[in-house]
Amino acid sequence: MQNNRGMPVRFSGVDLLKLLAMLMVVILHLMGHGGILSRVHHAAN
Amino acid sequence: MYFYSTAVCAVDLFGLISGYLLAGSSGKVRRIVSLYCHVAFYTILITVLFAIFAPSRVRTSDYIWALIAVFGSYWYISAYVCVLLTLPIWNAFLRDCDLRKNPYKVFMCLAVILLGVILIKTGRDPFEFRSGYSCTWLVVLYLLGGLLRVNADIVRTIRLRVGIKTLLGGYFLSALIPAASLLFFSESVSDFLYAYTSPSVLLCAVILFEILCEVKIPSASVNRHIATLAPCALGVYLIHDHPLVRSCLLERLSFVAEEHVLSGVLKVSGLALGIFIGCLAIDFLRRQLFQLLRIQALGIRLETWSETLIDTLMKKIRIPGNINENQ
Repeated sequence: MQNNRGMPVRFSGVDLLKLLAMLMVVILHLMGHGGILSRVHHAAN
Repeated sequence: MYFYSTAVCAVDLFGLISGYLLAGSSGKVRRIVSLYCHVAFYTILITVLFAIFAPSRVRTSDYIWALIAVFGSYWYISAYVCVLLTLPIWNAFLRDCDLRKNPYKVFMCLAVILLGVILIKTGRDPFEFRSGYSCTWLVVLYLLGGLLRVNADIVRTIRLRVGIKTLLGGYFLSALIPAASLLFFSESVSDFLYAYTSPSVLLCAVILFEILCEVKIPSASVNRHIATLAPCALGVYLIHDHPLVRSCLLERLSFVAEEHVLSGVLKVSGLALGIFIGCLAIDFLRRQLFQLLRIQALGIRLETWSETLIDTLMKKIRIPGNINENQ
């Protein structure tokens, strides 16, 4: 998508959301959802 | 577990973001080429590094998957490539999904999604959502993100009416549902509520998306930094979720499982932040390298070449562009 001057439109809120969501994904992978802790518990059981 | 619940919606958020940003765009070959180069860079690099420093971990098939890159190593990338390849279909569907012009179509779309999500609880999965680890679920998220974009002005009015505080309250309350289910319901109920396809997880994602999607950051320099770092977010996923890296992390960080709840949460947060910043820095350097190598130009060249090839092929098999040409 482009603005009136033909420059690509940047959604700074969406950019911020991308970074925040990726940090959440890293937390998710460390804590569970096929992540490290769930695998450790699975292996322990 | 509540801390974990607030983060589960992250994958759904990425699907919504894709729909919001790509609705209305045409399916371009350069996007797939650029994605392939991005993914292949890490799959090949990581496999080679492991082959040098930990050869016992690398199997022959790992080299093949490293070259195929977009299929096999990461479930999200495989599903995302399928969405990109079928992008024109979804965008054509979204074109007349304006709630004021075509409410029937929008409500039918939402009803089908809701039905699919609820039917998972019956133990059957009629739409093959596979707890959210599937292309079908990513298409659903893409369509939802697209609907939010097509009806942005209506959604904005609702958001202003509801208010940010209520939305934040809704987000934390929705995140509480799966966490509370662990105390009051059976394991199958909590598994259903913790999946990416869970209604509460999806609600969390939509609310968080609405809170942040149109946020205006007053500082120009902060905006610039965010714009520079945002394209590197995918790199964080590609590095830390690579099968070889992940299995290595699994062994090194297993001590966290033995920690007390509070210190465990703090350590996980610290580790996650460290991994996030480290991977972001690596991908920033990768971006600089790609700019030097003009990878984007390669994508454009391949796109032009593929379009010429298809045109030639169409002429060869004599498929008329217009029905009138036959008459």
